[in-house]
Amino acid sequence: MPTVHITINDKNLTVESGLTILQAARENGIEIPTLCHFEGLPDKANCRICMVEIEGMRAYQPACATRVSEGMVIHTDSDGVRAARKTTLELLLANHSVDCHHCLRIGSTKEPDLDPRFCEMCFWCDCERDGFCELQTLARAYHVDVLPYIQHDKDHELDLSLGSVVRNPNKCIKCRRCVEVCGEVQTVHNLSMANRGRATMVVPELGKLMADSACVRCGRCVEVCPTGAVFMQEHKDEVLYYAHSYDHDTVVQLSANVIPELTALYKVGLGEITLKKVCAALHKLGFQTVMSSEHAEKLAADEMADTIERNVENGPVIVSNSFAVKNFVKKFFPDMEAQIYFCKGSEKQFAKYVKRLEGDKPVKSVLITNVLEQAAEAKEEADIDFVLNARELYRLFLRTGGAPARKYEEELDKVWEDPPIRYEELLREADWNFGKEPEEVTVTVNGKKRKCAIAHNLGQVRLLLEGSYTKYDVVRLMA
Amino acid sequence: MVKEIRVTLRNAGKIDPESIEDYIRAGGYLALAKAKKTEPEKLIDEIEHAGQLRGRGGAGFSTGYKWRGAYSTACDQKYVICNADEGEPGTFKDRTIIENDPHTILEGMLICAYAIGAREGFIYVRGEYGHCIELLKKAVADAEAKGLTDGVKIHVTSGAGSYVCGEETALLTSLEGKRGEPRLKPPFPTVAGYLGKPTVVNNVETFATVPVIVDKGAEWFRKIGDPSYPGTKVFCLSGDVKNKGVYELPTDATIDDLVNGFGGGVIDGHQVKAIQMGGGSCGFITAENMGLALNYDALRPAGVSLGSGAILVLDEEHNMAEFVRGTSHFFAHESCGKCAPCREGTSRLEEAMDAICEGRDVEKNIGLIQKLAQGMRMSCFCPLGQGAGNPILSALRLFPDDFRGKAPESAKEDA
Repeated sequence: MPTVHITINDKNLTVESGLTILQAARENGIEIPTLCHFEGLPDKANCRICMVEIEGMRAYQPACATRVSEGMVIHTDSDGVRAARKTTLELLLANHSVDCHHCLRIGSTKEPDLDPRFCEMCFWCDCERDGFCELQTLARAYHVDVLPYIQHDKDHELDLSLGSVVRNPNKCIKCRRCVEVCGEVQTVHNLSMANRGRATMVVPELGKLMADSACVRCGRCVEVCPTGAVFMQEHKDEVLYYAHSYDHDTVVQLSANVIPELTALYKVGLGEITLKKVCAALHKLGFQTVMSSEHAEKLAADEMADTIERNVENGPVIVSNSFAVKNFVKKFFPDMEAQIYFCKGSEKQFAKYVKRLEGDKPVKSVLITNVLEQAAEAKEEADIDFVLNARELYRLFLRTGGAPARKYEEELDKVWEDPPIRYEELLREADWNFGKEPEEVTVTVNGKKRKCAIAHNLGQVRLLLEGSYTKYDVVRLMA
Repeated sequence: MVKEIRVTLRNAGKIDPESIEDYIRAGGYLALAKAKKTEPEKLIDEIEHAGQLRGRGGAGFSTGYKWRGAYSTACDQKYVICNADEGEPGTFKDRTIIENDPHTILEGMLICAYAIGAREGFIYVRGEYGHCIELLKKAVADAEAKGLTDGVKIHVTSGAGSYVCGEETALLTSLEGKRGEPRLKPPFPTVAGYLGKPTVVNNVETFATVPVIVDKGAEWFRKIGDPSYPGTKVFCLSGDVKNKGVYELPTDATIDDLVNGFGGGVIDGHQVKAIQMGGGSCGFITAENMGLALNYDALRPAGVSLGSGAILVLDEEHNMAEFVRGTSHFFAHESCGKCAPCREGTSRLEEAMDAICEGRDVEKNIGLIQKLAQGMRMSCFCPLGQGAGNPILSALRLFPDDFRGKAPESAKEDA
């Protein structure tokens, strides 16, 4: 593999040629701050935070998009670079509704050893990203305490029309991660840039409300947003009210997919937060029943397996239990809607189960999952009362002091016998990715080997539905 | 006294711009025929080394080097694009060339298309130049009818009036039908330009010069003007001078020759206070530097550049703070919104200039501008943001009193 010699901060390094400065630095343990960069998405070099000084070049260069070359001498943390970054941060923050800045203890950097997690304790600010906002983290790292600019009203209205994905343009820093994900990866092209200069903003299709736009509620924009500009609507207060209430029973379906993000948010080692610990913490908060989502997922997979077995002999079977795929097909492939077998998602299986529980007390159902399209579906179709994702759960724990890392483990409640697992390779809980090509697997159905495809994002769904689905016996669509 | 040498504007006023016959009678399209008898490699060499033609758009980049880049990139489809999105404040030379002699641009483009192997080209005309668009469309149709284009398809298109689309990568994105925003370099357009294919983007004036170099020979061309920047340059003289207009001078002429010689000096017996060199995003010089020659190397010590060739003369009645306030409004309006420092910074520069001109917190705002302009120069994505602070800083350095003169008495005492 060809290599080049570069110098970063007086450290002589030999790195693979073709890498960006950012990759080369990170591989060698040198941290360069970033804001618009997102692993897996193409680099846009919009935010100008990762600027580094390269000797012999007039202006600073973005580390995320500049490739290393032989003999390059790079400074990632010189005074000039730090000053330029701070100027950019001041400019960004001056046009951002800085809810977190009101807090004198946390918003300022005068007490640098204060753990930012404490900020939930005083209930002053209520930004959905407080404590894990990338802009906030940078502002603290660069000691942006005073904003030297005139503060204008940030008077864009919040778009609450969906009830699930909420947009707050006042907090948008125009990094365009959401635009890239919505357009390039998911091929929905709903979110896009409008206007220019100071008035630049991200808008859904033709400036409509989210509910009227082409949004398919996959929730990927929420996942990539570095600030609180797109987030899932929160229900912390109501959830706590019912958890504490003696007049209601609360049933929680807890999905294992929140564990990785919770671990990251708590900044603890892998394995320190387990489902059983979260279960114990939830019991402590007053939730009566905490069941694993595995049960409902297995039921959902069972339904899909049945559908496949019944129909596989009559040409390609396209199955999906994804809400976003359903919306996507309705919007972009309406003539194919009848051909696709839409099965119930795990949240609907859960809702069905909760209905049976209704006894003396009213039952409130809470779904805890990091799959945001499930949250949207639960809200819009499945009659589930509340949906929490890992971030909201984290904020809930911070607010109540119920840190799962410190809890003893408690067994999750077992509510029904699971059906046997079939076609696990095809029907497993699979991750979303940025890939262009669908995954191919071979599975034996009804005694015959079948060629199957799994779409891991809506771009792959589009590719399959545009014609290549005919090459397979079974196609599973996810968003 | 330096004499005007008309290379680019050789046919201006002598021929009917709407008549291809006129152009051919004046020796037009002979250079194209001559070029086609030369090997592309040799032709590019003629432009690059022998002619040393440097781009006339503002950056002064070697034209032949660009052509060679596109020529040596193997690809089934290549493009040649003429940048006629003349948006720099104070610049009107491209318009003059198009209005007087549209065919010379076309001929230059066809020579380039032959040299690099392009079969398709675009002329991206500033949206406000409706008249030029019509002229160019007619010129292309006439040349096609006469079979001069030899299958090379030239399209005349226009943008929606955004200043940043004069930047070559922004022009390409706009041409592709996307938001007019600059894109990352590398890859440079000569490797991956329009639709990802090798593309040469040159200014109107550059293309208009090409046929002359091919026709009269590179040796003839290189004898004109300063050796570091041979040939002539079309200047747009405006402001407080008697004879405003377009002048084509060899590049060893001085600013004095242009302003006091051709321009006839400042109007009404006033004095030169400042001259903005190269357009809205460029710095100023004072009268004492008027002996400098009009080329990049000579101007560098004074901290200014030739830019697009706009020379704006201001007399002593102007307040420089008020003047650059207008410039800052322009940049705040024209920022495309792509990168953070420019999107937010240009409007903050505007706010600070407004405050200074209204006498509010003058010293604080001057400090803010200095810090902000430095940050923007180092961090912005494209030359728009990088240069937005230039005129302000330059004016501040040369005429600090103009900025403080507006302050109310109490503020002056604080300062």
